Formats: sequence, structure tokens, C-alpha cells
Amino acid sequence: MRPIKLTIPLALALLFGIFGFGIQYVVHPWAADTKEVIALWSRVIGGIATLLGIYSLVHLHMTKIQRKQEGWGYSLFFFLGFLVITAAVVYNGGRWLLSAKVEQSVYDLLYEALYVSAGATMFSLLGFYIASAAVRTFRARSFEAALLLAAAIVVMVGQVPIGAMISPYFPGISEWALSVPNMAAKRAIMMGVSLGAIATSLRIIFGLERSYLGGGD
Amino acid sequence: MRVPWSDPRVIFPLVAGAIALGLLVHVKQPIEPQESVVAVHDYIQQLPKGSAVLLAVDFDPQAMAELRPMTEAIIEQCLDQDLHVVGMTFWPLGAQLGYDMFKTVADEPRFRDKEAGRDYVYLGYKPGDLSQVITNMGENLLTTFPQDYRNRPTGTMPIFRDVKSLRNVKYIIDLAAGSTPDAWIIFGGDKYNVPMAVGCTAISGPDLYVRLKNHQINGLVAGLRGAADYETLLQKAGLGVGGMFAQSLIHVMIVLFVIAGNVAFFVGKRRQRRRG
Repeated sequence: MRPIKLTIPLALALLFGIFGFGIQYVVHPWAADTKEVIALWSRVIGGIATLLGIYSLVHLHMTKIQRKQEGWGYSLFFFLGFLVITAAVVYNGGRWLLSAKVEQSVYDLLYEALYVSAGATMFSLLGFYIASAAVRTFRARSFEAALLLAAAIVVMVGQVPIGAMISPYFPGISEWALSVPNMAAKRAIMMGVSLGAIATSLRIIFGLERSYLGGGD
Repeated sequence: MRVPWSDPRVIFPLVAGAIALGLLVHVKQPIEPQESVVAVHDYIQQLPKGSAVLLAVDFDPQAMAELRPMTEAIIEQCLDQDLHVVGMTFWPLGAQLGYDMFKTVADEPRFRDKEAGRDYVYLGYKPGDLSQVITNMGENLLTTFPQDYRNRPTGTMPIFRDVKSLRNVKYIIDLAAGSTPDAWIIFGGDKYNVPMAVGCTAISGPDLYVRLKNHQINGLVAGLRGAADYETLLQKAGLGVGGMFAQSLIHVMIVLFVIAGNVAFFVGKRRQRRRG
């Protein structure tokens, strides 16, 4: 089993890793066509992965219901939502799935009335929690925390029109905080992450990193 | 020391009240558009008639409050300028929202002469790895999207007569609630040498300053404030400008909450020290 579980996957990773990397530097039309084919395959795999995701989701909620695990009632709502939306998409206002999408259909109604409202509401709740957290947790416990606090206040006030009404300096200081210290930190993080990604990719290509194969060794 | 009114039962109604007041009472505030927003507006303004602009509508209803006003303002400006607008999304749950936004703008009486497939097209959602799909679009837009959102074949659409791939697009704008701008910049803008801008939620704005200052994007429209700036530039007050007073009130309120929380914290600390 060793060749199937280890040697072949490592060889494929090496082959496709070097090929996928190298082809980016070839300007021949063949390379462009090949890139297009690879991208197409990737999309097909993406589609199959979606099916796998649906299976996994259904399996998870089915198991929850069967075992009557805590909160299993919510899983019923998953199936309700999943089946109703799927039925609405397949029915497509009486013209069925493969026809052009019908406007003002049941799906549109469900999307507008349920999903848009629920999604916007969920995100809006954040505003309330941020305000609550501001009172409870945002403390100047140290010099660094005080600095962060001051920067946050300046940026928050500087980003809204009332900031310029309070003081004409607010927008300028806010812009400076975003363009200079913020950018320096972000650049450092980005470079670190990119170097890490390159190192990890090379480790995978050359078979040094094998955790993606599963198993303990 | 605990702030006496720090209970959510007090804070939440205060926040709700401030938002309601801000939305119901229209207080005009001077809005000075930020440079990064002006850059997007001006770039679109100078594009020759008939140029193709790609709008990636990469968000869903959760970020709608911030991103919808700016998306509609940009579509409107493009149609006003007689540009060809191509829309698409990488967010499955944003596909219908994108369609709604295009339809809302195109249905305005002054755009009655604009036709789907000729002046604008909404291609909908495309699954798959972002880098691969963008690469596909860079090589061939029509094989990536053989049909638009309403299943109409794209091959016969006049809008695609001169636009075969990303290389023929004059401007890419990613309106994003997530991490799609990175992929668009790396695999779209940089690789195919297409100028790019990003519209994003306020929280993602600071992340994109690096791209802006590196000139990987030539403009940035961030948050509802960005939308308000854009609407100001178009001289059409919409949801962005309309939401500015509410946002100003909430920002000031949160700053006051932070100050009050810290005053209580230091007073409590001092009392503790006195007690020994």
C-alpha cells in the first residue's frame, strides 16, 4: 500500500508543483492553452467539491437528528431551508431548472424576504456588540493599549464627516495613521505570510511536508 | 469599577435609538470626498465611450448596507458615461443581489435606452478556485461564462464583440466583503495589466491601503463613507449620504463609551489602591 498512499501522491505533488509553477514563465501559446485547460479542470473539481460539501452538510445534520444531539432541532431547519430553496430553484416559476431564470419567482421572494433580511440583520447585530464591547473591554491597561486606543478613536472620528466638524485635523491624522503605521505593519505581515506560503509550497513540492496526506507520520 | 450603564439592556437601546435618529433626522454634513475615492471616480470619467469595465460584485446581503450604495453609484456612472459594464460574482449567495443591483440601476428611466447584452451584462456566479477562474477569464471570457445569469448565450452578445478576455477590459473594480481583492489584484490586474480599484467594507479598508500605496490599485472606496463620497462626486445623494449622520452619531457614541469605560476603569483602580 505504500506506493499508493505515499509514493504516488508525493510524485504527483512534485510533478504538478514544478509544472504548475514553471508554466507561468512560458510565453508560448501552448502554455496559455494548457493554463486554460488546468483552470477548467480546477473549476470542474470545484463543482465536485461543492457536491461533496453538500453531502457532508447533510450527513452532519442527519447524524445530529438521529442521535438527538444538543440543538438537533436547528438541524430540522437546515433541511427545511435546503429543501424549500432547492425546490424553488428547480421549479423556477414553472419553467424548471434548465430554462432562463424566471423573475419574480418563489426563489426571488425567498431570497429577498428571508435571506437578505436575515443576513443584513445578523451583520447589523455586530454594531450593538461592538458598542457593548467598547464600554466593557477597551481599556488603556498599558502604554501600547493606550496608543491603540488613541489611534482607534482618531481613525473612528476621522472617518466620518462629523470628525472634520469637530476638528479639521481629524481626517488628516486618520489618513496618516492608515497610510503610514498601519501600512508598515500590514506590509510586514504580508511579507511574512508570503515567505511562509512559499516555504510551505516548496516543502510540499519536495515531499518534506506530508501532513496533507493524512496519517500521523 | 463597572460602568453603571454598561448593561446591554441599556447600551443596545441607546445604539438603536442613535441609529434610528440618524436615519430619520436628516442633518446635512459637509462631505469632503477622500482622494482614493476621487481617483476611482476620475478614472471612470476619463475612459473612452464603449470601454469595458468589469465589476466583480463579491459580497452577499450581510455587507449590503455598506457595499450596495457604492456598487449602484459606480454602475450608474459607467452607464452614464456610455461604458460597457460586465458584472459577475464569486459569492454564490451574492449572485441574485448582483443581478438586483444591475436591474435597479438599468431600470431607471434615464437608462431606458440601455440594453442588457449590449450596454451591460450580469454573468452571475462562477464556482472554482479564484486564481483559476480569473486566469480562465484572462485567457477567454466567453468559455468561462458561456451564459449570463439568465442563461442567455454570451457568444452572440454585442457587448462581447471586442471583449474576448480580461486583456480587453479597461478597468476592473472588485466590490468585496472578503478576501477576493487579493486574487483579483494578483491574477487579474497585475497579470493582465488591467488597472484596478477596490470597493470594500470599512473593516477591510486598512488591509487594502498596502495595495493602494503600492499602486496595485489606483483607487479605494471603503465603507459607507466611501459610498457617501462617491455619491457626493456624482452629485446624487443616495443611501451612502443618507447614512452618514447615523454613522457619525454611532462613531461618536462608541468613542464616548470607550472614554466612559476607561474613566470608570481608572477610578476603580484608584479606589482599589486607596483601600490597600
